[in-house]
Amino acid sequence: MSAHEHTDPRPPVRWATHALLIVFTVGTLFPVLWVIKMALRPSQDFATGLNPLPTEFSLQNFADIVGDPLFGRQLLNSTVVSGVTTLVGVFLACTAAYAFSRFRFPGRRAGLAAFLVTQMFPGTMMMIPLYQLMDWLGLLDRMLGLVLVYSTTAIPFCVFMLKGYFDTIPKDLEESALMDGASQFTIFWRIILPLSRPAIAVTALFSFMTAWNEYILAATFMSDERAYTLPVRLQAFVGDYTTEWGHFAAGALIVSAPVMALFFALQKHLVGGLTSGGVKG
Amino acid sequence: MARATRAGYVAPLLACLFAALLGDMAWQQYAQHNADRAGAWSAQRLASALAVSPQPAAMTTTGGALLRVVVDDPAPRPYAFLPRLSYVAHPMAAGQALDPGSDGDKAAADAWSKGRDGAFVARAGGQWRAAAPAGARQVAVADVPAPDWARVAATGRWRLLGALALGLTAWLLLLWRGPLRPWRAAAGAGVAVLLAEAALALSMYDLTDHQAHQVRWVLGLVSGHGPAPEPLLPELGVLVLAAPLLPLVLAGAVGWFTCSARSPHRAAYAYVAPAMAGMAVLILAPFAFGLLLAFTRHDHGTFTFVGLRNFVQILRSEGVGFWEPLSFYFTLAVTVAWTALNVILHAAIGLALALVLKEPTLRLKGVYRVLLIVPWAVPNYITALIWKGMFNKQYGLINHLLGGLGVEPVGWFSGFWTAFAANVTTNTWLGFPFMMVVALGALQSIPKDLYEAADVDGASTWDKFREITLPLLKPAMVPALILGSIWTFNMFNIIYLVSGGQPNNSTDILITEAYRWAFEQDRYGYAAAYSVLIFLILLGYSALTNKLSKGAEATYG
Amino acid sequence: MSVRRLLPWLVLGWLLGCSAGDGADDRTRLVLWHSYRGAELAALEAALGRYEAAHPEVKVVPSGIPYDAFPNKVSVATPRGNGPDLFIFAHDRVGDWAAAGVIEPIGFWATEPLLDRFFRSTLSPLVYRGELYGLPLAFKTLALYRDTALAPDAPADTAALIAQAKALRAEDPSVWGLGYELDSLYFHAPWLHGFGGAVYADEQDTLALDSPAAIRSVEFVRGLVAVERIVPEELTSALVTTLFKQRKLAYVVSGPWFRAELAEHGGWAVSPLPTVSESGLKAKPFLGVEGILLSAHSKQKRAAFDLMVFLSQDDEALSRLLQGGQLVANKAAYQDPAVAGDAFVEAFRDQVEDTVSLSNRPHMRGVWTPMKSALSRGIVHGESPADALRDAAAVIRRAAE
Repeated sequence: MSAHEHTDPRPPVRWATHALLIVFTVGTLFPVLWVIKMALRPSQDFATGLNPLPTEFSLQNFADIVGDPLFGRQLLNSTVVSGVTTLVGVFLACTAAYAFSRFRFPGRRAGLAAFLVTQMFPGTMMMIPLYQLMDWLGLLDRMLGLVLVYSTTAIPFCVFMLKGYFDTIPKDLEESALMDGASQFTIFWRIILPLSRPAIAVTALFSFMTAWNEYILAATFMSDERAYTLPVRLQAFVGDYTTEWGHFAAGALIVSAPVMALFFALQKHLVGGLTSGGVKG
Repeated sequence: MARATRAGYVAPLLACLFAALLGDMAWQQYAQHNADRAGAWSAQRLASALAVSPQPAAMTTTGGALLRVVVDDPAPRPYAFLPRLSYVAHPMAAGQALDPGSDGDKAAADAWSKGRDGAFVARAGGQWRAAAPAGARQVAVADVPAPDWARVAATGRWRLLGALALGLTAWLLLLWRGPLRPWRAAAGAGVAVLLAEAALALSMYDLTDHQAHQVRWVLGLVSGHGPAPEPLLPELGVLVLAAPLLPLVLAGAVGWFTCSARSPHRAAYAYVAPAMAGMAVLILAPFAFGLLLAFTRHDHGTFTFVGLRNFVQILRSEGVGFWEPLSFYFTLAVTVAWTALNVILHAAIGLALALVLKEPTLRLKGVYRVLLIVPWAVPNYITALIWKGMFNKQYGLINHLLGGLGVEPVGWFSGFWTAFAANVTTNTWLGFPFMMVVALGALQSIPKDLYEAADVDGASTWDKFREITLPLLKPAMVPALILGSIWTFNMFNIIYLVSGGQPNNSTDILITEAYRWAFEQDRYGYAAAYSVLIFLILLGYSALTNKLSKGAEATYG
Repeated sequence: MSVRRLLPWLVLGWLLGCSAGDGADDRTRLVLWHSYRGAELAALEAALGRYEAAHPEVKVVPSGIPYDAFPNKVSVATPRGNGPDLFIFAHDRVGDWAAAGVIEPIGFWATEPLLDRFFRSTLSPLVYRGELYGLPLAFKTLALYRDTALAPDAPADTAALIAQAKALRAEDPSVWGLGYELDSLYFHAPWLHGFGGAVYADEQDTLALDSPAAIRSVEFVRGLVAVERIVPEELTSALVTTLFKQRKLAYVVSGPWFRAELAEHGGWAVSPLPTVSESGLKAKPFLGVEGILLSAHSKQKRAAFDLMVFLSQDDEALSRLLQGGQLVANKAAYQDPAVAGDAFVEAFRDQVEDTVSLSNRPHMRGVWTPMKSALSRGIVHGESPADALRDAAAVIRRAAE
């Protein structure tokens, strides 16, 4: 893990790094092989035993899920809810984190503490009042309700992550911009945000995951099958005494693919940050 | 600043007055409503009009009475739970025919059949048509003493005033010291209104359960449709509950308009407000509800105020020894160990991987990164169960591998430590990708020229890690670690799915205990008390980390 | 306007859109919640289609709710008027829902001829405090599956089963005699009842789980594991299926759902559970009934009840049995020639006579987890069954205070 300089490390170091990474990655992926195995088997029982490699190759489970008449709609629901959650959550978190990082105002510490405090009360006790609230707001069976709940769930982490990152951005950049007559918002929008791409990428992924994999609240708030998100559909394969593991596994793989695609797309923003002297981004 | 200060005095006072008016309105509504009902109750007797005979008989009443019908059981029947009635009584317009099987008919019949083991309260007014069930041999009638609602309402007004006076005193006392600021006054007023409401609720001690229950229901302190509450104005209870927030909102609004437009504070509030508003509505409101629940006992949709009983039971660990599984203290220790181990492992693995994978020259780094977040991406319901399968004693992969090394099969879920290790292993696997992503992001905040300068000085890799990477990583990583430990503290599904608390509930953590109380034992109040304790512990923890670590700047700096 | 301009509005419309918009429709709308999947769902949808064809004034809106979210969703949504008119669920929550005023007693409309359709044992689980709260659609219980290559004949009693299993183990040590989830009270119940025990001693929630009979039943299974060594210790339902398919398990205690898991696997048969040799009593499993329940907050109870009656008709039951593979609660369905020869169905039909209905009282929910601990202590970890059961009973009693 050496070589912060921009030269290739010597081949032995390189090969050792790769060997270690490959071993670790294979170890990490090992349990997931069973998911793939179950997804590719035509039968619906849970795969056990010592061999995680697929022995049968049937796409029936995938076909069943994709062929469901509501699949397209539920995929769209999930995409819209997660996408909007990400946009709303990240935007609100950015503005809040910027204020916490750059302004000194009465109630600042209390506000920051409030964000942390909201994470401490266990969620299980919040479900019934949240349902009541959604009922009053008329947001049951509506995507907007899920977006609101998911955004507020994601915001505290995003605020802390972004504030931590904003704090590392040198203030002299903004001061020189202020000298040039830029407004506070211009500084936020044109300087701070572009410089914080790595942290925004992380919070975006986090917000997206919060919405994308959640099913307990979605299953409680949504009663119409056309309003379901994909995780709710997935959980419906779990029955009282039996679970359709083949379908569940295939669905789990379908659900995780977009997350990985999103991460792959976002990770180019995880490189290239700051230099202490000035802006090069 | 003078205008703002004046607003700080006036706004909370106005809000207090408003809350008082609201409370009084609620009280009047409530008394009026019950007076209406009392009028119905005071009518003399239904029985004289209700001729009980085998044939349907029409009659008109204006009042109500308690009616008890005793039915001779005819020959034993195959389905004892079917009602014994062939005719039913219910209010109807004159001349209207019975409509057997309709919803209204059924409702009346249900009310009647309840009379088999209790009483049937006839509603007042209108014409009644009734017939006795076959085999009826006795109809007992009792007068119902109507409660003196006028007295209740009158004393209620005094109670309300007293409570408000108490609240205002508290408010003044709170403001006695220190400079007056609008937000300070508003917060004081909020506390005062809350105090007043609590005092009012507690002052119901001399009312009967039924009456006190209704008052508390109006105040939003109990919920449900138990024996007592007649839905009055569902929104009223909420308004009363929201009253303490009103001064805050008012003071905020007044402060907003009186603050100079050029004040930097105004801009700061504008940036924070949207996120704060969302949190206030969607998290603080349910949280307040959860807090209230902790002081209640839940019984089939009805919540009864029980004071601190839940907390006392939990903290005295009634029924189990202090240091046995299922006791609060044992579970707390397990929870702390679980949290500490998980967070350390997540952070160590995540950071190590991030350090390797941030190298710009490393080939295929994108592929490694994407593959390594797979545990985070795949729904953990299925992967947790796969891990459970791998820990199976006779057929699990892990014992198979250990067997290759000559180790006897381990019964992973038979002992505390092994079951705990299985839980931690699974959760480590599930959780390190998140920390890896966070660390990857955080590492980008470290300027590269610092490393270049260190290289010039001839620093070793370890020196660079210790002197540059770790300190500069702190601002971005410490919040993630604190939040990560809070989440892990409340991480319930992994333990539920992998060890299931085995052996003998010893690997349960506080949140799984709370979950079991809520959803397996149907004791929401008890579970809420657990949650409040969890909340307090975490609050203490974050205060402690704030004090102890220099990460305080990172969190609040 | 360009697409980019339009997109935010489209998304906003989607977020706000009420998904249940069906346009103008003056038919009576009955919402039915269920958690059926696959063949069962197809059978239900076909039946609802037939009902709508016969009743053009009614529109039935079925909605599949994930099973594990189902009970809490019903409890939360129904009192707030957002629940269904009817829902199909296992009977064990009937007590909870009845006490909380979520479900409506239907005794007023039910008549004796209507109730005569069903096995008597499938009705009583739907009765709580003297009121009937639903009509039974199907039942679930346990029976004895056997691998016909390893065990050609069904054992009459446990002694025969043990002897046969030991002989098989002696021949091939990788073969096990009997398999099921040892630490689950649901699977232990046949032995509990077979030794004369019960969960509750009476109607007053008097717990009997630490009775001598219960202790003997745990000692019996401990013997099967530790002395006779015919039962593997740590079996999950997934492992049971795998081992049975690999022909490594002679007998399995499981329910009707096990057939679907076996899929194309052949060479097996089902029979009622054996008699317990020590006591001479039948091993009686729990009986679970899937009932159709009427919401107490429905606006059209009478119309909803009609649909309940329709779905529980004999011919509808038969089609659910044939198309959906459900073990229906109607007696007549089993007389049909299309069913009469089916040994699988017959076995469960015979078993239903020897069952104990799973209690529907609210406190029953608190029994499972403490008993899981007790059974794993007493059976798997070899602790004293009496101690383990006494501790569990203490925990249950304390929680029910």
